[in-house]
Amino acid sequence: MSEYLHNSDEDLLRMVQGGDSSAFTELVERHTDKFFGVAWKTWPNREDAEEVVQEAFVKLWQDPFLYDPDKGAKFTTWFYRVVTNLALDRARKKKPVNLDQEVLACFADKETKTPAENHRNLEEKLALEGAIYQLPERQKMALNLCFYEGMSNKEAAEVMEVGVKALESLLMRAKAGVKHILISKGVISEEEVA
Amino acid sequence: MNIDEILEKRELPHARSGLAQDIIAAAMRNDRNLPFMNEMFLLLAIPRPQIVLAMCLVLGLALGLTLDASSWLTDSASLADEDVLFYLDEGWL
Repeated sequence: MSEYLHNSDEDLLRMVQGGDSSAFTELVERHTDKFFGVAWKTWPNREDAEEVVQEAFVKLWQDPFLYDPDKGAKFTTWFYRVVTNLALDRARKKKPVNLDQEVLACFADKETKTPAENHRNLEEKLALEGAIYQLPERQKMALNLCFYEGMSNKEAAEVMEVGVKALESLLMRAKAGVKHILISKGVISEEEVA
Repeated sequence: MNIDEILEKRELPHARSGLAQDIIAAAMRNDRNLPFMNEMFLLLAIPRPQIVLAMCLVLGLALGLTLDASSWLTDSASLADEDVLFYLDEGWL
């Protein structure tokens, strides 16, 4: 069992600021999976997502004073912004990802009952992932924060540095956008979706 | 079905096992690149640069006020002496 089990992220950061590499190890082990997911959702490419998370943590180790626990923001809220910005920078420099290939690479080995079911599952995942991928950056981010990271609207607004009303508007447009794309591609019908 | 139910079907990939270890190894290969002041505070085992800066401000302010007060007192005293000499010269005292 880790000796840092009862330490908050903010406590660990203070230790890292003092040069404690074990506290840094705990922080990385605690959050790598979460922030890999955050990076992948922003830029769905496994290799790039891994590099983004690595870059963010290495930067944090090199200069842990970039984060100030006394400013009141939770470490995860602050680090979410760091990882998302790095992923967006990478996205702007690269060609669009081959989403089919990515989704296949990530989910093709999942066990399902029959090959037909497997195929249908992948088709559904691809359609949904494709629809989210097509959303404008800010809408995608709002959806990821509120829907998939389970943040409150207030927290998400803080991460995105917008007001709560603006966040709600982005979220509403994101959902409408996904619905519209799925209907236009024939994945779902108007009657199916309330 | 509503749009939330559709969105809930999204499945996300997990990081490969060993990624955390790779990140730790990569970080340890990099030297820490702390700003000079933070390096000094760490070296002197002073916990928070902000606290020290605040202390410096308070000390500076206190020192400034003390110097200001003492110079005001000195000035006042010398002015008083000049007044006495003036009145003596004029023969009023």
